[in-house]
Amino acid sequence: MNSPYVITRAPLSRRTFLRGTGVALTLPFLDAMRPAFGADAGKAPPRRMVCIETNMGILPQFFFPEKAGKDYAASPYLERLAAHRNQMTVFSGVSHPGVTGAHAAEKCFITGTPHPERGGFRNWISLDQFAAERVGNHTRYPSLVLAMSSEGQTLSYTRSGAPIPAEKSPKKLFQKLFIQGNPKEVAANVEAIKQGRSLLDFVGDQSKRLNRSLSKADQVRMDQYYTSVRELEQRLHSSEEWEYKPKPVVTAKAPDDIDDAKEFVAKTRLMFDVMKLALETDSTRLISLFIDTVVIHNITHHGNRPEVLGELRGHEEKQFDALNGFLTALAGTKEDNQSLLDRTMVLYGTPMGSANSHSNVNLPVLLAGGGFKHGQHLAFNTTNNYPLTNLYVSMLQRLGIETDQFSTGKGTLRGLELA
Amino acid sequence: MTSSSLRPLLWCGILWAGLTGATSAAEFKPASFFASHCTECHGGDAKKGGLDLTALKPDFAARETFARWEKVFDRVARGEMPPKKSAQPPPAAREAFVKSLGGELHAISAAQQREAGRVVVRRMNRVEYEQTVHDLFGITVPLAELLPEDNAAAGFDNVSSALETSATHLVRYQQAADRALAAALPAWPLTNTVRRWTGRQFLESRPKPNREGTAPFVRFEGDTIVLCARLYKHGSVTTPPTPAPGRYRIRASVRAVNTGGKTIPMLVGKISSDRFAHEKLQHVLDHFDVPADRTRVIEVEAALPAGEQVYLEGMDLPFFQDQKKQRNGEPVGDDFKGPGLAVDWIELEGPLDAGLGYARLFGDLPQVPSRYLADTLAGKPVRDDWKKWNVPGEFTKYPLSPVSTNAAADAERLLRAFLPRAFRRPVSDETAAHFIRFAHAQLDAGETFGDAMRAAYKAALCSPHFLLYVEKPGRLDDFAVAARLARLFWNSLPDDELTALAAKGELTKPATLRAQTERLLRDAKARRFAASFTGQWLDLRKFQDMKPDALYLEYDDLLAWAMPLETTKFFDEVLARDLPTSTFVHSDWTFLNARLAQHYGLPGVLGMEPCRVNLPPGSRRGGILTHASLLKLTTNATYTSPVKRGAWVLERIIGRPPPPPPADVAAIEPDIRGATTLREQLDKHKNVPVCASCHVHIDPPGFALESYDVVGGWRDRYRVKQPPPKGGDYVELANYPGKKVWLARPVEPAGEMPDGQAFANIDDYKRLLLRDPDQLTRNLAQKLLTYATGADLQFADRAVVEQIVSDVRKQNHGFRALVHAVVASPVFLSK
Repeated sequence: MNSPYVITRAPLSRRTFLRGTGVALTLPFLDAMRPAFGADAGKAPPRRMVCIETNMGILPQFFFPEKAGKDYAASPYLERLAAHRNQMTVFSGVSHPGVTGAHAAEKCFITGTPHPERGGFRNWISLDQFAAERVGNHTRYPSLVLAMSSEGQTLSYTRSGAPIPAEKSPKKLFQKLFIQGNPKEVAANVEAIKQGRSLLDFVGDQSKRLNRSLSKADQVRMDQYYTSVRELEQRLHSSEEWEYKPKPVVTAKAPDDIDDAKEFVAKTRLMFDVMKLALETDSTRLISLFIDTVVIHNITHHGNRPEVLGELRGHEEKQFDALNGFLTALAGTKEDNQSLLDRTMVLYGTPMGSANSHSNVNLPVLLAGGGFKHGQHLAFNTTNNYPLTNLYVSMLQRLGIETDQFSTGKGTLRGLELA
Repeated sequence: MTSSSLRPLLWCGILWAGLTGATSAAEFKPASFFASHCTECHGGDAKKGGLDLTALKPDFAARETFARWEKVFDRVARGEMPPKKSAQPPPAAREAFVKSLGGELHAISAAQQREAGRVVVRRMNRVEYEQTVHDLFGITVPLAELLPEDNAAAGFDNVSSALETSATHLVRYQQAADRALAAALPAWPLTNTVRRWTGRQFLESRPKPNREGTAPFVRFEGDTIVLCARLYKHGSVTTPPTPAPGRYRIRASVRAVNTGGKTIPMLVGKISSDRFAHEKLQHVLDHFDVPADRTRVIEVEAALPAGEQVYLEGMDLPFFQDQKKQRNGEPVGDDFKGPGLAVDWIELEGPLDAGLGYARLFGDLPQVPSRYLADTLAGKPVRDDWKKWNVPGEFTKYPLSPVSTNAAADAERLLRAFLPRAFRRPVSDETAAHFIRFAHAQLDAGETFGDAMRAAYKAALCSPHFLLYVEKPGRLDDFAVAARLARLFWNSLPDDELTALAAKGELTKPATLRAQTERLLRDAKARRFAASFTGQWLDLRKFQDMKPDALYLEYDDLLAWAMPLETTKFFDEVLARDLPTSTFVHSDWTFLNARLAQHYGLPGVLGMEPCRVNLPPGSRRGGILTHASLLKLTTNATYTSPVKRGAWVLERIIGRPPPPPPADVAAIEPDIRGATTLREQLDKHKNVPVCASCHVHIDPPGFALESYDVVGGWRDRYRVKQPPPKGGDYVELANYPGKKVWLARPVEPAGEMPDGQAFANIDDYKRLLLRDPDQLTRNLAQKLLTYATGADLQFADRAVVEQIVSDVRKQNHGFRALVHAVVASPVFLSK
């Protein structure tokens, strides 16, 4: 008797092929928010945002200028960014209200969620994902979540407070952004997406059935599972449409990754290079980058010893040199009649005001580019800090998002005006 | 005895009355009690601490109001309110108030539990996910690293309220399932094999450059290789490479030669670790003591990736570079008379669970390379020369695929067997039918049998039945209890014996439950419980997070290895021997190896392997508070913080976590140049009431532990990097001859308890802690219940906790008795 399931076709099935290629290539970038595909990009010039955190503090005595206003004398670190002085605002006397807990605060740098050190803490949505939900639909990738880290750290959190795993390899990021698959690979990706959707459809159905027999509190939790399934189905849907569109062509070659954790400045430069390409090709407009400096962590507890301070200063100056390189690259790239830097906000800062004492106030933070009236040092009260989350409201508005609050921020940052 | 030392007992009595008065609650009328004793500060215009009791309505159904009343209950029952300086209510009035309020709170909380249970549907955390899937398929590939980090609540990362699910999780669960299934279903035949090399075979197997690197430092006695220098990684003796990821057993026959009768320490490590993992000692599998002139066969079991090799390193031998210099590059040769590590043979056995994954997924169905699948199914003769193919070779192109001549029926049969195991309970026909239909749909779409089943298994691993622990309100059925037990002790799913007992409805019979708890605890997988529980209760997971400053020049890899072992072995011992919970505060023994004993200044301990050592009087050690591991993980890299350590002791050991510091308080800037001490800065707290109310609790343990430095060493004076402005001395470290450091101000470890009892040092402080053994048991009962059920404790659970404390008290506060009492409690056995 003939069974209906006897297979007679070629043995290398689509799925066997997928096992080797497609799935691994497709899924990671689904982690980030993806609004429904197809919204009109509009006529307004594209606005972009890059959020960068270094997690172990920046020596405040070499960062903050003494004088407030436009004619401040550059501090040693700001000296490194002198070329961009007019395209950048330095803040002092700012911090996130209620964000304490020393190292724990590193997960709140762009969420602003109070008290990460306490039991039962749950993070809020991060600035980039909040923006991605609203304006992430113009590009192939609504946002890129990146890290230079040996652990699983990330700057980006979903609406339910789950950390979004970051891409840590500049090489893989480059491949994802620019290496065009052959037709077979594209077909395999599409197939993987379709299969992903059929699986989600199935497990979503399972959770609905389970839900019927549950008590109220349990139903709320089960709904969360179901909603997650639906959300991912939507992301897969728009991913599929992008699969058919060719990827941008760049002349640069894929970088080789650096494995040595101690070479973090060199690694950061590589990541900055690919980030600039991603923005230039409009592959995304929203990027978060977590820079883990744990390798120099030992000496951030410097106890005010001069020779250790000197060593640490050397490391940090190199980090600012890398940032300077990134800003210069953005400034040197033209789009319409503006530079890429004119349209890209670059937030750079750290969640600890002094790593020596692990305090989370008086955070060293600066904002470059993106279309503000820059060139100043906005000094706020160092004993009673001004909410840094207000800066995030300003940045969201600059992206064209109509909101007057974000996290603990209840208004735009005082003294920072649109250009 | 002074009246103040009676206090804890007295208030416990009242607390107990407040909890047991539950069922026959006196009518709750707080107004007159408040008016007489409270509202002067907490009423009308005076709202100290933001509390206005005249406005606090007995609206217990509202969560926030309930929490406020719970706080009122605690402060009054513990005698913290009204404050000491104010007039105190008569004991009878206090008791009546506590009893009636406790009754109200208990009744509300208990009613909520009856209706909905304590534990909301709980998602597996990523550690549980990984270990469950590993056990399900007998695999070891890393999976947790693919999943988003989990949040923690109530001190543990398995607490339901913190375990959210998001679309990101769903993406990652699919990836993890793909990786797990790929590992469970290798593309080529894989069997558990023993691969042994003699010393000579090892060297002959090396590629030429490696052989030439090793040869000058070794000699041979027959087939035995003698390592005459400290070689490591590829340079030293290694096992053959692993053929696939999996669990392996490594054995080696070794002895020390020409050491003058001295035992030498040997490290067993993985060759493939990057520099970063190396710093955290992630390459070390174990250390052994190798006896002189007597053969010892050592054995290690480990999860290894594919292509991994395990090496042996004779640690006391001269470094190979040094030896090379010393001998002017002259190879050692066979007449060399210096010390050495002789290796007769080294052996790799595994993967130990080879074939388990395939058996769980495809039963006894045969496999052929995909190239021959169509012909096999069509009944055509197929050559079987593939059995001699090189591995992986052709198999990468034509992976092994299961052969089913009756795909639809096999799909159904296999899924019906798999689903109940994965879902930890019998699966309804309706649910099974959905999965079977899913597999059939894949077949209809033209997928091969293997691919269709893979898709169905992947769906099972991503389904809510697998990822979520769903329980029904009220008493749990036996399957849910089996799932909780396996989760508690193994971080995994029930094995066949638990499932069989649950199916017979016998698991929850008290004697069976006890016997099964014992069985699970004695299994090797119970190591996961110890690791997961101590990793979070005591923060041992964070041990490697902080690398001490170079100021602590005695800190090295051997010390970093020995420190956490002391604590894990200590925990195992207290659990195994059912020792009193107070043992955690003080013991006259601990686990040391030679390196840690040197650090503690205790002579006479030999070897690398930690053993139980009796502590001499005046050793300043005993109990976990004095473990270097915990002292290290509660400090920063250059200085100790009495606040950090004090708060840690309150939260973890005493079970009375301090409230978080006020938002506007400035951090204390340490100054390790020695000009001021933190102690001096903290003394300011005494005079500021708002600080004092918490620091009166935080400071005592913090001060007492100031006698231990950043790496847990004893100190009488603070160590500083440079000569201090005045009064410094450059002295040799007591336990480290030849190592000198600058010492500045003396440590001041004295202090006083919240009740005014003074202590001079850590020994005194521990004695004062031991006055209240019930509280030590209570704290551990609360921690274990939270961890075991995956939910924070609620008010109605307090009565259960008190019952457990009173039961365990009768068993000499034994820790194992406590674990049994937790498992047998209604909190564990109900949703």
